[in-house]
Amino acid sequence: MASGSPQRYLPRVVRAPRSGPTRRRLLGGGLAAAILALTGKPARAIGPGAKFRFGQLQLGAQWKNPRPSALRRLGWEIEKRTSIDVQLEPAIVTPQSDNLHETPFLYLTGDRELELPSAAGIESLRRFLTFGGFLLIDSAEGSTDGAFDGSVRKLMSAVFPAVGAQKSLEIVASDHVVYKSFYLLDKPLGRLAISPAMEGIMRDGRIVAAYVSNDMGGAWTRDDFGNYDFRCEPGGERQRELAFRMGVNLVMYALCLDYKADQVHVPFIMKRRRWKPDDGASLPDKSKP
Amino acid sequence: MNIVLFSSLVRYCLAGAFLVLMIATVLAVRRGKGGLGAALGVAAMLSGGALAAEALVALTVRLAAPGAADFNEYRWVMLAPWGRIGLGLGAGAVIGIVALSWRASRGAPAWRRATMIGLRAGAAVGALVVFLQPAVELRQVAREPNRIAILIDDSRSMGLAEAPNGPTRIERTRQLIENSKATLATWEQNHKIDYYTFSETVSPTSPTGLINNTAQGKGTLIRKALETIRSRYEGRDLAGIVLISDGAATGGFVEDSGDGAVRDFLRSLDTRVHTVWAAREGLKDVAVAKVMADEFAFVRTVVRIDAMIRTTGMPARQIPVTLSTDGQPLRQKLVDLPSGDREVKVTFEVTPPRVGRYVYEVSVPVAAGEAVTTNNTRSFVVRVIRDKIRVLQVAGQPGWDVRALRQMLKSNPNVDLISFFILRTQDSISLVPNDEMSLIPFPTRELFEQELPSFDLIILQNFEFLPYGIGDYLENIRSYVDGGGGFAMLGGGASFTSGGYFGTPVAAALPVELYGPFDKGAVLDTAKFAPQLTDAGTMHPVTSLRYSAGDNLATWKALPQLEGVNLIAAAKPEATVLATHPKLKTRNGKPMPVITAMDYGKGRSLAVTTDSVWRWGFVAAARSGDNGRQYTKFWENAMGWLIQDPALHNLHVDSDAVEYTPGQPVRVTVRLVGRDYQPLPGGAVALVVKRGADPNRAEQVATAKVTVGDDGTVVHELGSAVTLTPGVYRVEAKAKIAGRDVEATDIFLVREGGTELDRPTGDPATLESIATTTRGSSLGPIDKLPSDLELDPPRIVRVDRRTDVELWSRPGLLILVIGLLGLEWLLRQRSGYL
Repeated sequence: MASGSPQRYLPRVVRAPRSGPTRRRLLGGGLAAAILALTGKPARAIGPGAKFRFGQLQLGAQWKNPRPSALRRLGWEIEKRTSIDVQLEPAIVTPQSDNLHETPFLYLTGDRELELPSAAGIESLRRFLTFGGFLLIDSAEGSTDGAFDGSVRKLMSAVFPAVGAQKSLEIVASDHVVYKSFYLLDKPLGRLAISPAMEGIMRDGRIVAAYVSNDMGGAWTRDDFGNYDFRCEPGGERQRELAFRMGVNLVMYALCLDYKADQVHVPFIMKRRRWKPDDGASLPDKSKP
Repeated sequence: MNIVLFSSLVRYCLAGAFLVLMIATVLAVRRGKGGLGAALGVAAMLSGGALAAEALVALTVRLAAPGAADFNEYRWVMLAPWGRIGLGLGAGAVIGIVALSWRASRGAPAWRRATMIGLRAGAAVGALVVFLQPAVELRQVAREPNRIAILIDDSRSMGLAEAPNGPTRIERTRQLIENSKATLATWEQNHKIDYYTFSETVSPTSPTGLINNTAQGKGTLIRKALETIRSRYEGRDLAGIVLISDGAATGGFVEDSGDGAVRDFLRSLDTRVHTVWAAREGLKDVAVAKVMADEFAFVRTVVRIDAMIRTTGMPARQIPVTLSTDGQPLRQKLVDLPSGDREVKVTFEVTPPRVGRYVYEVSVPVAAGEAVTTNNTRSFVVRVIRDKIRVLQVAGQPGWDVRALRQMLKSNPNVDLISFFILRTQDSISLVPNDEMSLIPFPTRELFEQELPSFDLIILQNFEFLPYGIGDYLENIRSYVDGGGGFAMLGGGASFTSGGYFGTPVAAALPVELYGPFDKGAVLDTAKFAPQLTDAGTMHPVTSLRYSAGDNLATWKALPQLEGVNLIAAAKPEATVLATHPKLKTRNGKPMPVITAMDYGKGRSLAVTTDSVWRWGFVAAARSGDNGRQYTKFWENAMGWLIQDPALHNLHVDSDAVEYTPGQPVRVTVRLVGRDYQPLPGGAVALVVKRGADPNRAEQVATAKVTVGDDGTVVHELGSAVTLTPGVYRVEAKAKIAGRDVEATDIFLVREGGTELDRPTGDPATLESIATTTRGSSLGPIDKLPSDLELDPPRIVRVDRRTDVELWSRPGLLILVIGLLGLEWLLRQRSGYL
């Protein structure tokens, strides 16, 4: 992505180099390089609060997380694969948690019927999503028409009812920027591949909520010994890799929105207004009388 | 009064013809050609008869009217009622009689035959006279002299001399009038001469009045002058117009001279216009003849300026053509000028860096011997406006702060946003082929070298430069800000000191001092905090989230806490700290700046040393009734301040035009609004008017103090205080709002009206066209007016006495007719034809 020697600086121990090969810079750079070698990837966020952190949405007292390690594992992969700093431990939040807006990316999973939140909870979720939050719903029940699926549709209809041209859940087209926000993908695979497409709710030109039925969390989760908890069917490890990539893309989309849609337009944007004179004139040489 | 039928020439011709025909008749008869001899003889007799008839008429009039010498004019009248038809019939009868006589006299000797025919013809003519009853009306008349208008060009081009020590065109005109005294005296026998000068208007003058005329007219409106003269003599007798000019017409006459409309106009004058070319060949001049540029342009977008450089009378050579503004050269081109009278187009392209009015000037150097130097420069005004704000956002990693800023900028329809986010670093594990990823190379050279100046605002957000090899481009960013760009650095673990910017050119443009490599202590703090507005911050455009200071402070206190801050060594002395950390201190013991602003060169920079401003939007929106608007408001403020948006100014001064002519009143509107952008009634504003393209060397020419009205505005007329001569002017306005100085500047141009000296070369073709179309004479470059110039005679006649002399009723005429017939009869009898 970029060339040049990386020079890393860590919070509380940073000493900045000057540009140019000065003695101080070499000294500072050497120190930083030594620390880098000992600690791995440097953090770029100022503190834990500035790091990306999943919010694990909990609906109802009876809700149980069927994929407890999935987000930690996905976070680890994101940390390693991208430039995003990730706080691995997700925050458990409910629609009416005070800290709901501290984690703009919410993840909701389940394998059974959900207990829908109260009207205040629905309003809180709507507010969260309207003002910039993102909700990823991942079905772990292995079915596209099960109880979890039904309650998700009820929930989404309650939060964003279809009004006029605005739909509630709709199919996210395979050429949507979410499929190319980091990796180039064409469908949202998970532990399973029972649904060929992602559904989502679009508002103000962006996906505010995405719903995947293929149990992506099932592909991500591992046990304490590092073994994946589930086999991915029918695609095996390639499918698992694609599930991770989809997870990375979703997080990247939440953080960058349609940034990757910009890229195809860059040459046009850069050239459409000419600012640089090419008339062959020169600046007058003031050294001459 | 002598009555003549023929002019002298015709009379001589008739006499000559008579002699020649007589000789020819003799020769023909001797050679035995009787028919030819008879015909020639008849012709000789007709020629002689015509001369005799003229003498007879004169004799008759003299006998009939002994006092004819008192009459000075005569005319023929026919008393018979037959009119032209009778004249035609009578002439036909005479011809018929001659033809019959010719036929009847066949066989007669040539001389006799010719005599018989001649006598019968004479008798027939005599009978015709009796039939038509002609008379001569003798009149004693007096003619009113008509007018000659001498129209003399006294525009400024007439003050030019073709040679350095030679006469000017107006001097040459004066000499022409002096040399033409005899001619003018001749003309004055039948005409009266009126003298006029013309340039933009027509004024009566006299030969003595011309002596002090220095030719200062600002235009050469030939058509208008002719119209004026024609209307002045409407209904009066005009003998003709003598137009003396160099032909360097302004006002579109030259361009339209070939048009039918102009031709019709010239013919409608209904008088001859004789033209005299007052100029001569050999004038030397190099001029910026014309500049073509749009009046409006977009900031940071190329403006094309076409200049026509005209050379006259100069040898082929190469000259520099310079485009400058504010007295400083911007661009220069070497142009090959051919010899002769030619025009060469030069094209410049410039990129206005900021919104506002710009006075540009295209100039060429003054050559030795040039007749006109004022046309070597040409100034013009371009209003530079903004269509969209071009923002470059470069982020070192995705994050909520990055996303929030991007979303805000993308949703602003006035922003053209180009974002570049580092999505993966060299530390990231990559087991995936690149063709399965959407990543693109970071276009460092394109962004930081080629396209950098095209942006209005550059935002580096948690971005460290070293890994991406852009260290060499940091000087470009500094010079970009120095040149007028807006620059903001936002906090993060890879920003400010942590981003390695200490000692770099970018650090020079930052409003804060960074920690060096050997400074001890942390460079980041991760605790949550509520930033405190400084005194400056309560009033500064960037941090004014509400109109009133009290509301603003309350709004800031209600904002969600921020989390984490980049520690900096200190704010720069020239910077303005707007918000600080409530606990942390800089190394000089002052509160740690969080939001700091600074003017750098012609640009502005802003340092926000945290990566958690997004919380003012999304986290604030968790509270019912708070839509997170303050985040957007803060960045809109910051963006407007960074790009120096005129809409954010509290004081405005605008002249009512961009160009004026000398003496024309200049009105400026002053508008003063408070921090809440509401009018400030009664606010005092000091105005200073300076003259000069270079603001550093401009000369103060006027000052004024004005007070704005209830609507916060006042209109002040500068012309009443000072007469503005040609040049570039700046109006600087200063006022105080709540103890803070505010300033505004406007620029305008005063230039000579018209284009009189734009084309100083004399143009004889224009004058020739006028003369030809009006049936006048194109006299060209003469030194003296010709006495035989074709002028219309006076048409207004006063008849004092008249008498008619009838020719037909004279007894002599009857005797003559009878005598001729008798002779013819006698001759015929003796010839055996009776």
